[in-house]
Amino acid sequence: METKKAKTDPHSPSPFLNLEDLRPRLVPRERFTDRFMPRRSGQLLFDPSRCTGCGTCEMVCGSRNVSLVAPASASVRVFRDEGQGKNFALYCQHCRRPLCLEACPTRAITRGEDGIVRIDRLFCVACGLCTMACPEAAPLRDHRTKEIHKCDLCEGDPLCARHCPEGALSFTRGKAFRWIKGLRWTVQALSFLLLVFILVGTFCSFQAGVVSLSCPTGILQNIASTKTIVLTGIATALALLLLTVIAGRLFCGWICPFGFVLDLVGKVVPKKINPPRWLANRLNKYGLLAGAVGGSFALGYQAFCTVCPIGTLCRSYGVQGFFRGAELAIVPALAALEFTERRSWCRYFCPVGALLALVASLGLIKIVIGAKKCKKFSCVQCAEVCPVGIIDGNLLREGVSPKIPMTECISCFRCIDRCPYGAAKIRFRWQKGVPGEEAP
Amino acid sequence: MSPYKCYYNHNVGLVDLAEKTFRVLPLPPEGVREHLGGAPLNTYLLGMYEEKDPLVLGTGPLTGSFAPASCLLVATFRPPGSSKPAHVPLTLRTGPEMKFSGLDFLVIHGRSSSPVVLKIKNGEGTFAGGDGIHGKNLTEAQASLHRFGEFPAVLLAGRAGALQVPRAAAQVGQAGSFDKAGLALWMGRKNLEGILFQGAGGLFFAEDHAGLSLELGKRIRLKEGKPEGFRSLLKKTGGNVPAGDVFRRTGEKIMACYHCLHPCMTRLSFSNRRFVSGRDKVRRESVWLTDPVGFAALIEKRPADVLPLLKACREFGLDPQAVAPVLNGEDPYSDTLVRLESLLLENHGEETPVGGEVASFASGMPSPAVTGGEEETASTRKKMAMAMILGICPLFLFLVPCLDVPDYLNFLPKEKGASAFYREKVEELSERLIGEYPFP
Repeated sequence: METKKAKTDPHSPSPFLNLEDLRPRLVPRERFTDRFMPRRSGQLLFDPSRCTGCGTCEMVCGSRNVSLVAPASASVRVFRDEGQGKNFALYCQHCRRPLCLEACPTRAITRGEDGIVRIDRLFCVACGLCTMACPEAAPLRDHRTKEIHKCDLCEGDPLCARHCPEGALSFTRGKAFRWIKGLRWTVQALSFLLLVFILVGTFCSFQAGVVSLSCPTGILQNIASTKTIVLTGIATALALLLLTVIAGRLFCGWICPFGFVLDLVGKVVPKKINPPRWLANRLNKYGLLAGAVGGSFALGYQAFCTVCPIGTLCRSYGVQGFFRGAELAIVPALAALEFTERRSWCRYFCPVGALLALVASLGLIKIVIGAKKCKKFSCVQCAEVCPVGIIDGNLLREGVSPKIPMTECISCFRCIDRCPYGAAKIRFRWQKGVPGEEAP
Repeated sequence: MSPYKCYYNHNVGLVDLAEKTFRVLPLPPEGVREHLGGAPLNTYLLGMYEEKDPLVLGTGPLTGSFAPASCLLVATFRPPGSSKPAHVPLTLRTGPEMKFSGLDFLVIHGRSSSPVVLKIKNGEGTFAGGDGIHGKNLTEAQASLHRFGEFPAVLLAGRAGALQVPRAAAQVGQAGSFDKAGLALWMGRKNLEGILFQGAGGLFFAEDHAGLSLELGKRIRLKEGKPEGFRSLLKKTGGNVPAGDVFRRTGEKIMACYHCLHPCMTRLSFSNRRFVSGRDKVRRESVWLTDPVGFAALIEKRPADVLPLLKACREFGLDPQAVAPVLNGEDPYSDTLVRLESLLLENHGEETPVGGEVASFASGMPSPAVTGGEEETASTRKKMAMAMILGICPLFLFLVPCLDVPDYLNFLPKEKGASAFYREKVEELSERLIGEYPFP
């Protein structure tokens, strides 16, 4: 006889009291301004090269936790490897999405508005699930009292950082001003003004005094369509190509006016749509580049330039622009791709970026991220800020340094700007090793 | 409450190696009142068990406290044929870990029938078979010790000690020790392969101690500058030691003992390229530089290969100072290594150590006479004697002249009349130590 399980409506009120009734889950309040100016919360930084393993941090932390000089009761623990001569401090990273908070069955762990993750002694039953859930096992069990201790940053003035004799532990409230970010937005805004509003002509080809500059993709299409190689035209395109060889796809990250528009739009629109896999393919842009050159060859005019969002932006939206009905729709249409992923156009479709990517493969610089140096498995802020999504956060969590493909990197340097540990660096292409893993 | 309650657990562990028993006895209050701690109290306890030829491991009242460099554990025993007990300072984390385990003093007597390892953990002493580390080199022995669990402080008799080689020196982990009085021989004679310490307890402290420690740290940084590790010791002790070349092409990492605010240890990594032969692999090796006297003796004889020889001495458990006179300065490195290993087969059965000074209140410490004038020498000597009483690293006080006796008396009880009592007592005991054991 078949038995049917009684279906319960998850939304119907339960006749029993549960944890939600006793201690409702605190949902972090997100402010609109967080999108533009993320709230800064204090952070404890550890420099292994300075740590001598004296254990002063453990002493002072333990003395605060249990009013005794008791390093074993501290919320920070120093691991000493005598053979390797390395010391490593373990402490809570106050993750933005703490796994310990999710794991705590009594909701004793909360994350405050100030970003500090705390344990409420009143509700903690010392089950130790938080220790198991934490990727760094930072909530530590005191073997004397069997309680769980976790760093609460001494409510904003950590004793360990104050007492560390070598300055291996330091406390920061984050960078007050990320200078790369400030510089990049300024350059982007100025470039936009220059290319769209001030310079007569378009980005595709303009002359400022004796300097002539052209879009390399446009020149390529021009050669294909006219079947004529004009050396002066190639020479004008060389400036951008040379910049790409020296500094990577700096144009995409810092100069491109359409990139600036995408960055602005990306700040506002939510990422709600998942693009199909065939569409979200980084090889698409190379196909489009080939199509643009082939199309120009077949049609006899610069096929892609007519719909190029960069060219359209410069031609149609400036004060000297001549508005053309259909052209006006191109920029908003492509900007709408921001509903899928940040800089979707640049990642998957832009033929200009594709040509620069090919040149960037010969570039002189690279960006390296040393997982050993950052050691903060719950941080991965570099992966989160990367607009083209080329930093593998999962690799970092596993302690492996990810390889950054410079063909895809738009040289915005957000990762370097954001990393609080100095683990992301610019290196020359021929330099070996990553921060924290250099040969001694 | 006894005024000494703050600083001691008031427990003495009594270990009988023959019967494999461990008992905890109360610390005699009259002994504490008369001898305070460290070397004098060890001597007192040694007298209580004189007929059993014991080894006394003792802490001072300040060991494990907020006082800078409060890492000391004093090993006291009577070397055969000596009229006075020998005191060996043991550093790193040995003292604090023993104190945090709930024991202030440990009296070990009897002789085990087979090699044995003593584990001191949370006030209890347990025994484990020491066959796995008997006669093994340091690295192998340490690897074998991992099966006993995590012990932050380890004291080993070493290979030479187990084999009763007169040039043996006990080892505190990879850092070696200042044993030049025959501690390793004592341990080997009693079949005691090693002592492991781990403590999860704590000590009371006065409210102002953390602040005092911070102030002293600032003063040290101001007067002594940035710590240079072993280099600073060399500068102070051996102006004529040709150590400059030793540090070339090496990786230096400064390491510290418990709560040391001006570390004097350096872990040096070097390439063994010049010293390998045949099929041996070229790789980077490392050695801890801790013992200035042994280093000076060895570098004088073998300046070119002092680092690998020092490492070999550590591995074999030999005292570099005792070994240096039998080495030939002209021999190639490989022959010298063979000569070192052959020392392990010589002189079995002899019980007196060779090379080092037995009659010293702080074995292995550099002579205070190198610090300068007569007055300064007397002051340094007094500070080092005080360190051996209070449980402070004598090398730290040797190295940091800006700290003096009154700075440490601030960490002792401040009840009415107590300050004067302690000042007089420390004065009296240090005078007695200096009188009994004149430095060369």
